[in-house]
Amino acid sequence: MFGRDLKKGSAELLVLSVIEARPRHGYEIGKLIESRSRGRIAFRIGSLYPILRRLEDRGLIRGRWVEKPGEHRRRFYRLTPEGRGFLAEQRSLWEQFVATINQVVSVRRV
Amino acid sequence: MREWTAYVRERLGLSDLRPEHEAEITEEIARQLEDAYEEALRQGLDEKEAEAAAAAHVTDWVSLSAALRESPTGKIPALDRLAERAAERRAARAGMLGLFVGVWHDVLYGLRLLAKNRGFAAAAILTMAIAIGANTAVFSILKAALFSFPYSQPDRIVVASITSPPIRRTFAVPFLLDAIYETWEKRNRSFSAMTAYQVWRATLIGVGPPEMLPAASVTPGFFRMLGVQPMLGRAFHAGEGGPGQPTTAILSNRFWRVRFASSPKVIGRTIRLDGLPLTVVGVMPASFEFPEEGGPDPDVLLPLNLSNASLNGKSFAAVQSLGRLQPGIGLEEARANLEVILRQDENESRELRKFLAHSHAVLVPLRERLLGSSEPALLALWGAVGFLLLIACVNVANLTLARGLAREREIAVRVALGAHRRRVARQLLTENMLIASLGAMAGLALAYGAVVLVRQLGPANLPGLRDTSIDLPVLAFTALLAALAGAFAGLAPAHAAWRVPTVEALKEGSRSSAGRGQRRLRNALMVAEIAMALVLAIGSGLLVRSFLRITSIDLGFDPHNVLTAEIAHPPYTGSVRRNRATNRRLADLLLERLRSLPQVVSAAVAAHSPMSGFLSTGHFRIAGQREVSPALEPRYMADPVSGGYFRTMGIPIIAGRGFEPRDVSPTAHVAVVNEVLVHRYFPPGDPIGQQIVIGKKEYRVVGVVGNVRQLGLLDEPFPTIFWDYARYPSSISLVIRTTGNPLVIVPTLRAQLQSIDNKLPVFNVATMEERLGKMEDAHRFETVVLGIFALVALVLAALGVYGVISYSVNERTHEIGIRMALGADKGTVMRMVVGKTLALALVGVAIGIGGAYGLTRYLQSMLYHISPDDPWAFTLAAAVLFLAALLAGCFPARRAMGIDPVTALREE
Repeated sequence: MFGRDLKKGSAELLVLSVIEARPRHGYEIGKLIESRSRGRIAFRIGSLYPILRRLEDRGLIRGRWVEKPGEHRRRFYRLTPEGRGFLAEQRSLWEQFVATINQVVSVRRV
Repeated sequence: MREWTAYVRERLGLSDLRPEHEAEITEEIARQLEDAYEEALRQGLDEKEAEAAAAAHVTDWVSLSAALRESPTGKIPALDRLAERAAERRAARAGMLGLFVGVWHDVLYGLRLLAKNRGFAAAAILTMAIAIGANTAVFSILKAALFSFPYSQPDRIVVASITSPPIRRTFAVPFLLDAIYETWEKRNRSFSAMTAYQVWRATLIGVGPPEMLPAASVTPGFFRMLGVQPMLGRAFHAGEGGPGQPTTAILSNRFWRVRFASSPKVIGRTIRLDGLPLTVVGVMPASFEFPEEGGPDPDVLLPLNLSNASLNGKSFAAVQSLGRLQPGIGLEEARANLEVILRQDENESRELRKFLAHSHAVLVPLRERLLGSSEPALLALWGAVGFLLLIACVNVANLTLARGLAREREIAVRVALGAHRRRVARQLLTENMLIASLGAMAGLALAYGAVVLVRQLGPANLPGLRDTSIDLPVLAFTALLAALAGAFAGLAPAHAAWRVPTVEALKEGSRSSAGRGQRRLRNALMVAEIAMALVLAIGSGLLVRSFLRITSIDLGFDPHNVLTAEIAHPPYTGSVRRNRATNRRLADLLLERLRSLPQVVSAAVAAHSPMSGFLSTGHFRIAGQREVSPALEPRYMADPVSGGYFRTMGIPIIAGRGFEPRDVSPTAHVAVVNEVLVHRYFPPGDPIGQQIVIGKKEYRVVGVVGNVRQLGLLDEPFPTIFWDYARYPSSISLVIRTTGNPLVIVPTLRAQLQSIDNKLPVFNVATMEERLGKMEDAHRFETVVLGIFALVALVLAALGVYGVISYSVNERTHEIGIRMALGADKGTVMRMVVGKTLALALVGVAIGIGGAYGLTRYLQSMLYHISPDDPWAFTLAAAVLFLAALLAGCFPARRAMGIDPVTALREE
């Protein structure tokens, strides 16, 4: 739906947002982004997974293997304190960015 | 259901990461794919469809695996580039340590990559190993030859001599008369020290069986001048060896070890040399080498006393002389000084003044003199291995370039993820350095083997051969070479990586992003490789042609089943007449006993047997022709030979007869001459019965024999006059023709000689074929070594061509597919690929021929009767190289023909 570049720039913010409330496993993160965007943003495992790894490398999220009865084990990611701070900062930056873009882009209507 | 973990592991290929790291990543991706699969099932897809749906989540495994590899250090481009820059600045501030850590990471990464691409690694490392090994071996030989002069400041030492009336090359040893040396030594203002010496052969009696030894008489200043001292005992004192002095000797280390079992008690012992008792006063160190080119080092040194040479004034002795230049004095300055002294002396005898009127002083650096004939061969080898190394570098560069799509993708991903191009380039450079270093290690092993081999098989006239070894400077050279080779081979790929356009390479299914520039670079490298290999092939071809000429030289005699041996003169006692009688009796007795042996076909003696390198010379004229001044008369070489000599040697008698018993009569002045002499100087008509005049004596020609290479393999036959040995018995060279292997009779020969006179040593015992073999050895060595280098170069060049063409076919698979879909048949595709090979090979061959024209003239002095631009060698080498290139290009062409247009297009 959206181009690759747009998606790339916002991927981290998207991932961090969906695990803000509670830890989620990798596939769930992808599905959640897809459902919350009503299918307009979809990440395939092959694209999402490296982003998770990188976020973890930078200490913004932390993964832990969890095994539930009757299911295979999955790795659940949660935000670290740094991750929360980073998310808050990025979210406000994003909102300012969107508002600014809108100011420019919306001129057409006038 | 699919086993997802295996599925992921197989495609991701992260075996180069830490195992637990790899397992975790693999499992997590597998579990996610499983989630996707299960969800698809829940949505009502059947198993096959569900599997396909899950699999669609990851299509570009190459990029994913590259991204995950980058992960521990990778950063997101937009947000963190600044942070990365800051980190880099910090690293720069951390200085060498940071760089070191970075390079260390690159090295580890490179090692993992090489371990993964075993085929590529093996090819590249082997290529480097061969080239660096060859360079190391040649360098160690060269270093030993050029620098291992065991004297202090060897560059200041020069050989002092005078020019003599023009004589043949074979006799041209530096020549000086003792009287001139004396005046030079006394009056020169250019040398801090001078020394003179004479080298000769002497018979040793009293320590084991009699032996013929190389010996030298040296002036007492010899040791100080060279800057060497005996290891045991003392050097000669000034004035030692003068009349009335007790005679003393210093032994060579070899002689001391072999004959005296390295006993320190040798000092003070007496040995008898040529019947003269000598007291041993010293032993030279093992590292000492006598400053003479070729030949065995003298085993006994005696003091040479010249104090009465100039007073004597009647007979002059030939000596050789060395001088050590004073600091700040140049070669020409010193020569001018000696020249002035040559001209200013008025007290010399009339004879000497006359001689000196035509002579000039000559100074040659000792190094140049010792290297002598080996120098062009060494330089040629040096040049050849240099070329080999360049070819190997180009090959490795080409291999790296041609590693294909995967690597380019990886680089593009890394660059896209924010890795600096500089860092990627460094990574590639490090990888090639790694290849060169590993190659160098393997090369050292090769070089070690080569050096051991060369020490055993190398030609004996190669100076410093026994000092050749892989030592510290050689190791340093190898390390330097590896660094240079790695940098050189890594430069092109690093440069190419710099230009990988990220977006293009990342596009799914994109073929290759290699631009026209990179393609051109690869083509240029291939052309260079072909050109360099051709230069080597032509050089080697010339040497092979020259060597074939040498082995097919018509010697003029039959060398098979002939034994040659020399017998030392019995010590001179009394008159010339008495000595001659002794020699004649000895020869007669020996020949009589030898001829009675069943294995002996015939036996004879000569003063000098062929290939011995010695002969006496003089001037002659033909009776009845106009007399000219003696100096203008034609020159001849003389050889007294016994009856049966021509038969034994297989020299054809063309007219008349050989020597017969009746020629001994004092009234029979007869001679046999060779064809060259007849052709050159005799008037037309029958030469038999003509008279030759030498001085005041006349000789009647009774026979004409075929021409013989008397002096050496490469010396053209010279006009020769044979006398009857019975009339002029001098030194005794035996030639014995046997029914089978001539060496069988050696023990009998020794026993017979022993029973006649137990004080006479027999020496230079060898079959004629062995002697010839030794003469061919030096040429064979050069030819074989250069031939090996050329062969390796040919193989490397063919590999290079294969790599480049193969890469270009890969790159053009899509294009070829389209062409075929549009109706091009296999023949057209074949022509297209082969045409490219052809075009590049032609350019390479043309450049190679041009280069060879420029370079082969440096081989001139190594070639025998072959011009350095011999068309055969050029044509043949060019054809071989061209064919090899074409063949190497045919394999990829066949693959191109097999491309299925449907598959090729679907891959997009």
